[in-house]
Amino acid sequence: MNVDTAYVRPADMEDAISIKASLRAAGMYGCGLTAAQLGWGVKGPEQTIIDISGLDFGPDVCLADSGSMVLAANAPLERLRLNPLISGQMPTFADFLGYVGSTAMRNQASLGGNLLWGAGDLEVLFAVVDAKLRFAGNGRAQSLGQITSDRSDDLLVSIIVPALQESRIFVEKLGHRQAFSPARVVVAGCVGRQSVRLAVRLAGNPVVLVETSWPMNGPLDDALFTGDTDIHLKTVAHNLLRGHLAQLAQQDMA
Amino acid sequence: MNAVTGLEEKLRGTFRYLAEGQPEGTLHGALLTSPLAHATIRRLDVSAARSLNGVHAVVTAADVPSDFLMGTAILDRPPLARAKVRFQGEPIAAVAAETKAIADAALALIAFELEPLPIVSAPRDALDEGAAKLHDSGNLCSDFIYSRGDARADFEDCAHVIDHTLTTPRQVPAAMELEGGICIPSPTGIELRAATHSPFYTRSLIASMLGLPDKEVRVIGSPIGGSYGGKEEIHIQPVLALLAWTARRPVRLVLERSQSMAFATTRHPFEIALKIGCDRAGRLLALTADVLVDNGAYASFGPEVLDTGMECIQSAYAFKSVSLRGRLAYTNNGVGGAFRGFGALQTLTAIELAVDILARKASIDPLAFRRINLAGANDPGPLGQAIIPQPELSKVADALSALPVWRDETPSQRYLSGTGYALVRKGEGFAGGGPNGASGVLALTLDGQVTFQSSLVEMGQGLESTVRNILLASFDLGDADICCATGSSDAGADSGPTSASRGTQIALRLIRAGKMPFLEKLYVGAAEILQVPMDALRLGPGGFYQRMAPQNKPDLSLSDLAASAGEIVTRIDIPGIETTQAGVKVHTLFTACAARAGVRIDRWTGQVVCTGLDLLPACGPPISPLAFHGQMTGAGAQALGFCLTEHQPYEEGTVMARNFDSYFIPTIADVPDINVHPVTWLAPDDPVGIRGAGEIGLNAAAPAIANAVASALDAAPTHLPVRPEWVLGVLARQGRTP
Amino acid sequence: MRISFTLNGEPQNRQVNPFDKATSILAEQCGQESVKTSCAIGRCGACTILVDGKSANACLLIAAKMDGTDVVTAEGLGARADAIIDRLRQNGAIQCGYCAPGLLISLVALLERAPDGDKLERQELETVLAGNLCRCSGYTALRKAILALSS
Ligand SMILES: Cc1cc2nc3c(=O)[nH]c(=O)nc-3n(C[C@H](O)[C@H](O)[C@H](O)COP(=O)(O)OP(=O)(O)OC[C@H]3O[C@@H](n4cnc5c(N)ncnc54)[C@H](O)[C@@H]3O)c2cc1C
Ligand code: FES
Ligand code: FES
Repeated sequence: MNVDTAYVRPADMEDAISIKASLRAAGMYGCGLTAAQLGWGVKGPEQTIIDISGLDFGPDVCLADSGSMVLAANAPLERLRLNPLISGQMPTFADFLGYVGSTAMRNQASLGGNLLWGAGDLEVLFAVVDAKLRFAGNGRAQSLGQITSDRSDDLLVSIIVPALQESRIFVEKLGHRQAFSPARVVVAGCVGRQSVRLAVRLAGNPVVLVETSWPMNGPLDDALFTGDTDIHLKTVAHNLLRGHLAQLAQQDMA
Repeated sequence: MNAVTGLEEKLRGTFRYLAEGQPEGTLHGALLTSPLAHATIRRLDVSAARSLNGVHAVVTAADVPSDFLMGTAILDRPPLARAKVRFQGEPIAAVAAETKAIADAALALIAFELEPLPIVSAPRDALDEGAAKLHDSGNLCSDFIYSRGDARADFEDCAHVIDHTLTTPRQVPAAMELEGGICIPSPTGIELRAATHSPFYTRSLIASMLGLPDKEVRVIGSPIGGSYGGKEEIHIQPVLALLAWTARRPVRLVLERSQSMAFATTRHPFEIALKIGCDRAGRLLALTADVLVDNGAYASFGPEVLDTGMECIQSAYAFKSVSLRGRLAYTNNGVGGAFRGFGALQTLTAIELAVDILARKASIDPLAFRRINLAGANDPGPLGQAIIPQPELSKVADALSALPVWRDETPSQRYLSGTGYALVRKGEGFAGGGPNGASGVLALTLDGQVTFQSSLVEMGQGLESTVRNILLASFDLGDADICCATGSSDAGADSGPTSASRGTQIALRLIRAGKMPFLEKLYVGAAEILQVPMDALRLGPGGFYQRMAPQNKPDLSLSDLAASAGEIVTRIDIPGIETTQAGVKVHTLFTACAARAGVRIDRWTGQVVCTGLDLLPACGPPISPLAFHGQMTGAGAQALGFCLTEHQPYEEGTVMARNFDSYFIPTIADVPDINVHPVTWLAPDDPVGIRGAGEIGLNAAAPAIANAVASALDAAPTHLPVRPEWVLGVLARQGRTP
Repeated sequence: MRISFTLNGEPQNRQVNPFDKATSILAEQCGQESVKTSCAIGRCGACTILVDGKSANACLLIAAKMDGTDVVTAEGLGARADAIIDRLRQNGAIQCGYCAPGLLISLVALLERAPDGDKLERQELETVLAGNLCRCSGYTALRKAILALSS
């Protein structure tokens, strides 16, 4: 490793982990760097960037026998969007990727980066499907909600989307125009046989996830719409969830 | 035939814009801009910056003649802030240095102290008694008053009266090419390569600032990577010229997007309060309008924009009486300026919304209502002025009614849909007083090409291909025999600004006027060389043919003619088509256009999508059909942005949208297919035979989209762009929330 | 640091600051003026290039990441772009042209990706091109040109 540069490309995963261990807070993992550079001034980053985009984290998408899907953390978003396993298993995800940034940006940005940078749209969808994040450090898989404070001190290797079987999922984003816009609101839902998981991100607030029984009786949990934001966005999130759920309920009746 | 010249080079990236291809040794220019919106400059010390190694020039207001101010009707703007700053992002100083890093370091060494002044953030507050004054003359930059008939009395006779107030966005031209350029000094003068619509005007302005004779300043103003009016205003040319002239070295200065978003002139936000009424039969009787415009910090084109907006506020309709008032107020919100549509877009959108509201109230179909009230073919203009007759208005109305019906959207729980119409007209060229006349040159150059030379500029609108088509239609010549030289002050003649939709009209009239005298010279020259009478000759592809003998090679090629006779030059001057009228600025030549728009409204989110757009411009037969279509579709997309996505907000003088992550111009996913249905018929005796295509599509598309929203919601927008918040609010009030 | 990469097929070896942007490396150091800077934050597409065959925003790409890559700019597309340019010309899809090199890159990437005979859906075209802003054209002629080309 060349210590004069504030940028390193580790040879493999172990190398990455040991570089990070030696640099501690002076180093940070980065992948596409599309989000990370938003925080840099003209001078560049304060920490040494450990670029994990070229490491072998396995295939972009892998189907386990259980029906769950394992996604490589450093897979670029556009490659995931076009991956036939994803369009087959989780078309909602593939379609939604079309609303995350632009094609050129998605060729550079990774799934792991989106889930960890703090305001990614995909977090909302991955929360409702109860995706697990597997980090290199402890080998344990954690739910999105459990990852707090310094999200990226450990190396994220893969994301596991449990078998969705009969669940039906929806996700929707309101931006400032039809495509290529920052999100104002993102909502998602995953309706199983007996329960439903709903998640909302209002503007820059953290994702709120709520689980309740299905079919639903009674109003949506107010907790979903908390956060320091204008009333309008709360109304939009409310309408979107209610609308999608009503459609699904109608399908159930039919 | 290409819509624009250089298309392949543009796509392959080998086409050179003016700030590219800098000569060896060019210095890097950079600006120090004001962080505050309104302040007194207490101290400005550039000595440390000047003495930094690698810095070749640091300029401030002290380097500009103290009486040098810029503007059109009102001269009030210094190129670098003098004593006061009046908007955030106003240039205070500039440096030219060997590298970007040195330039940035030099900027950091400039010591300055700003003492804040109260910020004038709303035009209404600006006109209050006690408001802080931006300029010594006060905050009323200009105003407009006009009345005809007795509106108050006529309202009494109305069966239906409505009022409506519309506030329009501060739309940023946001061309992909940023404002900038390269300036190359010589011992006696400069060459300035930077986008402008008026090379000659820019030349004399820069020359006077530098104290140089005009001929020592060469201005190359095109090609331009998009302008839409944004680069019509003088932008950084004076600062760039100062830097290069001071440094005695070539300098390149290009704004960053965040600087441009604060510095570039924008479309003026208008607040338009209208009251209109009609009788039982739906005839429009009276209109009163009170218009208040946020001008920003300097006059720029504000007075002209206000005048044009007020002139167009009656759209294409005959009101019995009108009473109009408009005011333009200085504020600390950036600088408003020229932008395609030029004031008319704002007022036309307001009046077309009002007309629909009234039609609905009178229970008359909006198209029928428009027909009832259309101005007559030979009526005087909107302010009573003599205009070129507009018999095409009724043809446009016919074409609008005859559009094939759209397939109805399938009704859904979630979406509402609506269709809106508009029928408008706007003056072309400048109002009386001009500059409306123009000059140009037809020349047979030494290389044997018939060349039209003008100082008109190419900015993607297809001027060059249009001129080529006019030349081909005027002279029986081949593609290789003709040439179009544009865009610089090298042209032997000043053609005036390429703006206000006048470029094509001017080119056509110049070539038309010059054709006979120029041909005469060519025939005389050819007859002399071939020793035959003139009437034995025919000009054809490649040169002159003897009439009798059919052949495929000319008897005298154009290059041989030029070689023997020398350059053959005809200078052409045409007068403006204009009238003047006491007290108001008026146009004489008007362009009509209709539009139909469809929208879909999401009841869950309040989002509005434009699902279809038809444009029916009455511009005569398009000379370059692809370029013409392109002007219309591009205008349609900008109208969509105006109505649905674009706005530059200011909060207490602070620019809120600094880049495209917060200013949203439409993407391909936002813009539906835009269908263009040219109404090619103009009166046979029309003195021009065509109308310019630059702006009119925008002026019709925006009100049609706004009306489509109104029809979907049963409520006319009060603010543009339409915000989802407002849509949901309306639905909630109507009890139509999902 | 030193990086090496290929640019339009030519090997390059350059001393760079790792956090310089590819826009400045390509436009200023390598003379590729087709790589325009308009927003500098990945929001307009004017700087789009191909990196290992995929479209990328040069303004989001740091120099360090260019090491070992194969970079193609609009200037280096050669015959790959001929058919697309023809269609764009016939439809009058380009005006001022400032967006054009970036757009062309996106189009080449898109059309080379689509397997033979696959018809490009309008929705997919819009998804892929949403990152290439064009302020002049209104996109109508562009959409027509490309949908016709792929069918
Ligand atoms: C023009 C533009 C448009 C955008 N539009 C959107 C949008 O519409 N929706 C949206 O959600 N986001 C958007 N983003 C934000 C963001 O860039 C993306 O979400 C992207 O997916 C981040 O991925 P990356 O690989 O570039 O992350 P990086 O920038 O490399 O990293 C982001 C963060 O995650 C950490 N990290 C990354 N990978 C790992 C790993 N494997 N292990 C541990 N830590 C890791 C880094 O340390 C860093 O803190 C946009 C960004 C840009 C520049
Ligand atoms: S300059 Fe790179 S996307 Fe705008
Ligand atoms: S042609 Fe001008 S921005 Fe696209």
